Amino acid sequence: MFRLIAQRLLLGIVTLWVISLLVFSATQILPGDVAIAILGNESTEEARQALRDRLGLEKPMMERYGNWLAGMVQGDLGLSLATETPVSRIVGLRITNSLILAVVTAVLAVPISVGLGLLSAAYPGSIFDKTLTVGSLLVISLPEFVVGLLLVLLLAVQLRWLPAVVSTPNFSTVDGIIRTLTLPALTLLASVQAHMIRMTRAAVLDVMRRPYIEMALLKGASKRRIILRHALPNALAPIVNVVALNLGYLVSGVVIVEVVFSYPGLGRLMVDAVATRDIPVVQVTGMIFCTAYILLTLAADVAAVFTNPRLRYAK
Amino acid sequence: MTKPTDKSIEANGLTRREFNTTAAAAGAAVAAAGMIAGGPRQAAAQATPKKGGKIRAAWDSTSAKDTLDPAKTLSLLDLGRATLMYNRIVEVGPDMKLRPGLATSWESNKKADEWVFKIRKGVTFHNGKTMTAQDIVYTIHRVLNPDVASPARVQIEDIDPATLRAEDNETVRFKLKSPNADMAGLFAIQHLNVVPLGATDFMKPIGTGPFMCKSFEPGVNAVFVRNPNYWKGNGMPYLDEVETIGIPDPTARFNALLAGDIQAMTKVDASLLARAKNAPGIDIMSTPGPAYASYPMRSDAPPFESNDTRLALKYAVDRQKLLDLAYAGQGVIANDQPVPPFDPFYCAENKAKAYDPDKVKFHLKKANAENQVFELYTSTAIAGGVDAANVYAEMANKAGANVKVVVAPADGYWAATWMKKPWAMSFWWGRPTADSVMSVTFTSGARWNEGAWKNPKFDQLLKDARAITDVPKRKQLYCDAQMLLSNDGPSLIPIFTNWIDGKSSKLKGIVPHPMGSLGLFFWDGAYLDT
Repeated sequence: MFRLIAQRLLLGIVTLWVISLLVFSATQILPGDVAIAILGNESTEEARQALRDRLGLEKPMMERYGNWLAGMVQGDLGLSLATETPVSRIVGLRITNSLILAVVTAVLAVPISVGLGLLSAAYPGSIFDKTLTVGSLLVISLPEFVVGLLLVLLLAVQLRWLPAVVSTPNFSTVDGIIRTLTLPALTLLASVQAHMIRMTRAAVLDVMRRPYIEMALLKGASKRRIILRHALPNALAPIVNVVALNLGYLVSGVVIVEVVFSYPGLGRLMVDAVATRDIPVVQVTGMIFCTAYILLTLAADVAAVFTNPRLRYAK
Repeated sequence: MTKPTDKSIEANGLTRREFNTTAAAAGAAVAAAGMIAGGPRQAAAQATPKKGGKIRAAWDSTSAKDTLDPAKTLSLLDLGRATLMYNRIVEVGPDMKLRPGLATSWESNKKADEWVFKIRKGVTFHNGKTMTAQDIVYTIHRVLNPDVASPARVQIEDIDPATLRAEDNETVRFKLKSPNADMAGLFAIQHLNVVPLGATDFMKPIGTGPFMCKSFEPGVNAVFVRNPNYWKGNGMPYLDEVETIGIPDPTARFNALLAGDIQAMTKVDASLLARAKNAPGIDIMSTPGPAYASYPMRSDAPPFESNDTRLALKYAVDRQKLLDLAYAGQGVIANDQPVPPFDPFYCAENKAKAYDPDKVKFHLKKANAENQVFELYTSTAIAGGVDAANVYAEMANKAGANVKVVVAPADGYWAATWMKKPWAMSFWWGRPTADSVMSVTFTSGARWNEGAWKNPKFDQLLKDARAITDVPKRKQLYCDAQMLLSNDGPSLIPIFTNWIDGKSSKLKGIVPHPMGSLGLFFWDGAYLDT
């Protein structure tokens, strides 16, 4: 089993390396000129050239990639082009905000979705099941920014319960936390719930057709006991997998949600950095998102191994 | 028609261009603008201002690049924050007249190449230190210093740094390398907001302005609190606290205003105006300004080297219809030159060309370009640019000129398309003086001569006007220059666009200013009427 995990880890590192190539080359082909983006369109050519020289923007691409990768591996994330302060400082300020949002959403979304999926599987074909199916599919068909705007219109503009933007998060009071996180977390929840609900329902129902469930039914076990004790453990692998996938999706979802709510997290930092052509910041945020995604899929693989004895004792 | 485009990209495209532009205004002055359309007209003087209260205001951009160093202000947000906490040497009032700032008076010699500024007594910085002429000299030297890399350096580089000195605590004297009768007007640009002698740390900045910086986090917010020792007196400023943030998404920004999270915002999208009209407790401030979209035709190459082609395309637009359809009526008709109607040197006799299909056909025939297809490049990087181009093309085609719109990506538009294609739209925020707004894009050697237009007569007119202190004579020269631009120049400039801002109706005492959003952020007289 450890071999398997080590193998996955190694693969993860290789994937990261490939991603570093992609991120680096993608940021190189962004149109426009860094010097113009930083100094403004009305800057003089001498000023632009001086900036390019100072930032080493005209060194060969391979040399810059080498320096960048070597720095990353050693934990040196480089300097922001726009502010000439360490990227690690800028990212550090924002990453906590994004993490809090993602974790709170996950803590809410996973139990709610899996729970609803189980209920749905317990009463397949019932009105509850059908309503849930239609409702969750309807919500996921809308892009995050539409869901976000609808929630803002209802809860912020019409009812005035919550702020329409959370540009300055406040985590020091309970009231502050609720006002800061409710709308962004609800929007993210809307975008990840359907997949988890549907998958839980399908996986459990699939198991429910197995002979041992029939056996349990015949020996007189209650429905609750059948689902929780007999069906769920056997359906866990696909569920864990889809949960991890959706947590991975949260990572990209925060980018859009942070922009819609003006929430100062990593996602908004990345969008701002693309606009100002602050390439080192774009690269680092890109790498952080990819790393998070890889770690989550890795966790899913490992969890699948743990929940499946056949994989656990693989020869 | 006003289909929302990708506004977040558009907003960022604009930011890049919010350069040394929005701040100041011309020399001596007449005329006044700054009317409110849509919102209730409000005069600060009529009501008694109430003291106290906090407001939050949102701009259309924010990033890690935000700065409180006035010499480096780049975005409207930087400009607004600087105006809250600093003072300028000279101010431009809402009537476009120069008024004393930290300088109480100024004069030049007859040739306008040697200047003396008298500095105000009894002004203290937020740290209690007294402001003197040395602080002013330091501020000017900073902007002139190439290492500081202030975008405003080019605007005041006529100042000879070797001659710039404080004669005593209340007198600043300097010589110019070449005459400039507009010098005092240039001292009203935001980059010359006065900082104390030796200031280098702009994370904890010190100024003399109505509000003091309490906290600042680039890309997140800056909070300002009332300066109890403000030199303008009269109990000003009235607000206790102003929090400044950026919300790049136009819809999110507007929702925040509707929800009462913020009390003021810059740039209300034209597509949101209908919603704004029905919203209770919200005022829209729509103020005629100097900003314009330009359609510069490169006159050094076909098909635009013939002035007949250029004239044909200038006659091919129904300007009022364009204003109504593409800008929701929020603007003023322009006459193919960049000096706005409220500028003291605006030439009123120079009428805008009327839509005239006969003249279009006549000039096209003369230029032998009847079957020519004219590709007009535009982008969402230009406020309202795509809508305007489409409306224009429709009118031009009806008049017999075959205009085809090409929408280029907003990302990188300024580097890859503008000034590269023969006909690519641009957007300018206007400039402090008639001289600077014309010379920056139309003189032969200009860095942004986007129409590649070379006219020795025009160059000479501007040069002569700069060295004359007699106002009526200058006005005549500038009038001739504007006529030349309209009748021979490379650019179609159909509209000056308004500043469209939103605010809570409880927030009062903000006097509309032609040079910028929300009264150019002169908020010392702003108060909450609760």
